[in-house]
Amino acid sequence: MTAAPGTLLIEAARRAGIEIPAFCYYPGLSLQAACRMCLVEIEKAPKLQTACTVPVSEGMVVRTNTPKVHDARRSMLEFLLTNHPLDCPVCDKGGECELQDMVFRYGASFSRFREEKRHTDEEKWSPVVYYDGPRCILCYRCVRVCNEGMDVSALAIVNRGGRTLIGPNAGGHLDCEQCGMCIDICPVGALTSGSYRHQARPWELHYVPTICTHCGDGCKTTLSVRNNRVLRGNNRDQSGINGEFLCIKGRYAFDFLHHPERLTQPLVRQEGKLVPATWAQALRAVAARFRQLLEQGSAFGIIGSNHAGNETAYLLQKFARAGLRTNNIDHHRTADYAALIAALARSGVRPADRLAGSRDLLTARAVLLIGNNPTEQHPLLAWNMRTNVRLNKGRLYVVNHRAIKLERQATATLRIEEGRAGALLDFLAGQTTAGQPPALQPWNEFRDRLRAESDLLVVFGDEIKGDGIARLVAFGNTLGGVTRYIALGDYNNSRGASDMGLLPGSLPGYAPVEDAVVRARFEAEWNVTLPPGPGLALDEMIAAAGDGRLGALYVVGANPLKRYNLNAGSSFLVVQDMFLTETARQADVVLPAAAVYEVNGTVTNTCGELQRIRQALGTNGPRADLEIIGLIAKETGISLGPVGSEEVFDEIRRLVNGYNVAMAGLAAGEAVPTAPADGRDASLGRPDLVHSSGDTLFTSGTLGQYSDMLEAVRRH
Amino acid sequence: MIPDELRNFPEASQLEEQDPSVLAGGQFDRGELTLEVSRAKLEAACRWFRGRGYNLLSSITATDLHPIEPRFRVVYHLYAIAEHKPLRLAVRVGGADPRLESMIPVWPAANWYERELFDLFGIRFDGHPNLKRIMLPDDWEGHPLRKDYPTEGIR
Amino acid sequence: MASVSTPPPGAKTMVLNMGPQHPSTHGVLRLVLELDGETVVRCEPHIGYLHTGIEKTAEAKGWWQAITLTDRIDYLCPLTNNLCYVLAVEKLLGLEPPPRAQWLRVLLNELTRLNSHLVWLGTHAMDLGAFTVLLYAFREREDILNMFETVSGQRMMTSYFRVGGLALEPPLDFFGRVRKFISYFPSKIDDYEALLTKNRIWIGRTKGVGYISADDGIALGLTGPCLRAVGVDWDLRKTNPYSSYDKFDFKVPVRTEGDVYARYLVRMDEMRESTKIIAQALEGMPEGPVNADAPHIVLPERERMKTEMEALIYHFKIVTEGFRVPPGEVYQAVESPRGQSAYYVVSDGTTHPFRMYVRAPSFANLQALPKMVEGRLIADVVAVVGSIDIVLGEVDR
Repeated sequence: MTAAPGTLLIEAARRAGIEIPAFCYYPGLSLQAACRMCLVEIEKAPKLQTACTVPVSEGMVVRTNTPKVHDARRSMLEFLLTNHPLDCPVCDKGGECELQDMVFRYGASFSRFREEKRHTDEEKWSPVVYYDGPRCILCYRCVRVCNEGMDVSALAIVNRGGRTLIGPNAGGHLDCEQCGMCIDICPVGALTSGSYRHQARPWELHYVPTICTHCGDGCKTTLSVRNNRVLRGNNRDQSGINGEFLCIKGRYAFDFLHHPERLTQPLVRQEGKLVPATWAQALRAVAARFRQLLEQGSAFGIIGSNHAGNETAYLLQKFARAGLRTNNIDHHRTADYAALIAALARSGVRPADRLAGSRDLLTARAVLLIGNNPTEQHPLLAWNMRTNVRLNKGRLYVVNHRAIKLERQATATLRIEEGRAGALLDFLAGQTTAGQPPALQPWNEFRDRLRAESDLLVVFGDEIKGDGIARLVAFGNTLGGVTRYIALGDYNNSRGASDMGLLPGSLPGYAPVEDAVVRARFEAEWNVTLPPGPGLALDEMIAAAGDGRLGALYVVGANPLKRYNLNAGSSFLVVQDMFLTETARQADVVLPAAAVYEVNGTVTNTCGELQRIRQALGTNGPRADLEIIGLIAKETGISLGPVGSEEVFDEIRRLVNGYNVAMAGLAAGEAVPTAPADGRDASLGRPDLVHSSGDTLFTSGTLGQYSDMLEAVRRH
Repeated sequence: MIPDELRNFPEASQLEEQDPSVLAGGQFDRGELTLEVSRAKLEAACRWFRGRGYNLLSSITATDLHPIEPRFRVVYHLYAIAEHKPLRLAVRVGGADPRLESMIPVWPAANWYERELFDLFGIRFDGHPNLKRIMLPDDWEGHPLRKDYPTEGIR
Repeated sequence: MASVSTPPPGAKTMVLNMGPQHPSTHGVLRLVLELDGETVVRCEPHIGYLHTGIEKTAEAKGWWQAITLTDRIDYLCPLTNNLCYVLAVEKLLGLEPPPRAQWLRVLLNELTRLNSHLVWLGTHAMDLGAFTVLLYAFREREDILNMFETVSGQRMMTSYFRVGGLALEPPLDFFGRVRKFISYFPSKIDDYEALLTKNRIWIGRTKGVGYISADDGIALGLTGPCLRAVGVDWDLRKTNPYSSYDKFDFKVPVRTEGDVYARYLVRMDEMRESTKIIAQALEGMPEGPVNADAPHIVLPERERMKTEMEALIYHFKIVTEGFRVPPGEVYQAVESPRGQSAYYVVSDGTTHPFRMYVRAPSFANLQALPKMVEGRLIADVVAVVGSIDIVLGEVDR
């Protein structure tokens, strides 16, 4: 067989379908050669060699199936098992344990060990990580993934020889990002999950791959479900854009699904208090009021969700525009996608050609990160940037007003004052501005270095929005090669919400409402006349609801009253959510909604990659957002057409710019790039409404408060 | 046509000499001789072996290879009592309209076995005097031993 | 619906339903009898009342799990079913159990034959009025069932054999109990014979009744004692030996009259021969392990599993994932108390049987019933049904 020069023998063999077992070898991590399982016979070498450390060479002859090799494997396993405790009946890893599999395949069936096994007690290092020393086979995968992959270095090797153990960094505890990478990378049950412990065996679980409901990275998490309860999340099949990576939220923060405060029945306000009601009663209450307001010609306001899928967002704005005849639609905008796409279009390029995907961060020659703190807010993108620097010799440039962990990988870091990003961009683009900082030298050096780069990938947070984006693109156009961009939005469907038109000034696909031609296209499909002028933005809606200018405010999967105050106005407030949030508490009608993990549909991550979400479990009480919107419409006498997630997605594919994607990849579970085409600026120039929640690894907006595990880790 | 390694077996080689269109193949595996019979020559093969001393029809049964076609592999297990020799004849039947000729004229014992195959697999036997279900009630729908029939049944 | 043709008006026949609930049908068997007075003109058996889809269920079980299903097929000789199935799987695997396991299998199978023949004797005799024989036979059967319970924990559904050998080494007192049993059992057979063999009523009810010729029998698939009672000297233990039966010295009782009385005599002699086989098994029982050396298929001993890491891991993997059997098909036949019992097992290389078909001797033997009773009295039907010794569990599966 042939292989590229420099390929490790073990990799070459695996690609050819030849099995060479290994514990410590792990693609992407540094070589360890500790476990000695990959020993093979190489002609002309007197002793067996480890296939994980030997690169292929011309004419090399390797034997992997000889009695000597079998004997070596058997002996290595015998050594590993000498101190291994007889824990299989109580060890979580049983059934998915690499040691079990290897012993059954390559090891002896009897033991020669007659001594006493060395014992140390199990230790709890954090709410999510437990360590059982005797089970550890010292492959050091955990240490390496924590050091190299995560750049946290919370695990280290302590003692040596026969007494070697893995140790945490904070005196018997782990002070780390609690990502859980160490647990899933551990081939045995030495590191186990605190939330999944002692609950189930892997073969009794039903696995559903779906997209994480937290940040905007769009990682695939495979939920392990038993009897309609999610027991754990991991990425065992590694088939998503996140490959082998998953953070604490994707792994552990699903427990909000079973939180005791989860709403299970509708609530209706009677005599000032919210009392339980049936779905029929609640829906009739909403519909009756909506019909009344429609007849009176009152105004409506709709606030949509950053989490719920594209189908929900699309149907909600369709209900608003075609049903309630209003453009008063908005959502908590966490990135200025509209401005970015418009700026790119105005500069004469196809926006799709200039928007980068998440995996581009792994291979880009140079990445410029402005603002944000991806380690906390976009862990996958941070992982990709770190891995790029570590393995692909990519160069990272960081601009921030505060110190962030990613600076450790940076070729150069520029500290600026908060709010100075715009000025810096002008400077980088070659313009002189009034009020340049006195210490110009760092800015000059930084600009020189960037100008030496070609094909720069710019990643930016909410520090850059509105007009700032135009200046960013202007700067990008001064560089050599093709400059691409990723705007960082907070949540799993922040981009989708924006793409689907949860904006007062734009129809789905950033098509401006004021454009009659654009309107005509939707009017033909929906069979209505659409309101021609832009509507109220989010803060304007709240104010209007407060002083009675809005007849009703319909809030789906959002919690605006956490940030805004609503004067006790005469507006009819309908809230559709999973919990009794600050907003729901003030509602006239509360409708319990299903979570992202409980529905089918699609979401778009912050890089514009479209992926399927799959229903992992059913609900008893709550209903899917799509279903509720459909029912309200029907009761109100408004026809929305079919409201199943597949039919709605069909319509999205037909009508929304950039969403006419090939179904095969999407159906197969891949991430498909969307390519928004309309470039006109429909953002209405309200950059002040674009602001990130500034979540950390242990917070996730309102949703994160209901994850007991996140709360536990936060307190740890 | 029989494979070369079966030419040492007189059961196979003699029949092959007489009429090479009867046997479509076969193997000797785990100490048992299996002869694959071509669909058109089933009755001829059965009569031939009956005449050669295979007087006991031990059983007729089938395996469903769905979705591979021909779907059903019907096997006749014969036994020559005088010589204590077992033999397996196998014939493939397609799933679209599975039917075979009834072997009752050769071995009357075939009666209930063919009814069982009709009942549980849906294979018809032309010439059978009483082709009705034998295990399941007469008004049962479906053929449970087919692979596309769920193990838990249909409620 | 009976498909016995309804007689034309004015005819002298009557259609009578015997079963499915009837003390003499030995299970849920329905016989539709067309009678002319007391003479049976037509007899049509209707089966399927005990059909529980065992063959379909087996496709959903692992190879080792299906063993528990086999007990329930012919529930009067569970160990024979166990043996037949396990031999089939071992043949597919190319696995041979050690001598001790084979001899123990023979010993237990012969005890099972006694167990089954005692039930046959007791119920058959009781059908014809000899109630005492039932009590005597079931008394001895208790001793055998107790021995089964000693060795496997179960009186009837033993599931004692495993692929590769036995589930466990028998407990220490087992052999003593067997020895004691066979020391007095032949005299018990004498007791039964004293009550029946020269009894005028017994002879009157059974001699000349239910005759079928050898050719007719073979043509209808009849096997076992019924066939040996009409002159066909064929016993699979002698002609196609399995599990070391070729190392044992025993006779195969054969008679020529072919009636109910001959079948009775054949089975009584078989019981005597079985006792001899058991004595030889005790005498020459080899030492050694009771399981083949196949660590990926045979579970390690429990004590080893609790103290050795490797054994624990192997136990875990075998129990949770099971073992695979290379693709192929096997038709394994044994001589059960009722005749040729065979398992047709097809493997597709996975951990579950792709197809498990059970050739039940009673299914074929029952097909011969009409020929035996047509033209005879209805009272003879009871005698003949008893003499065929059917078990509905294996007829219907």
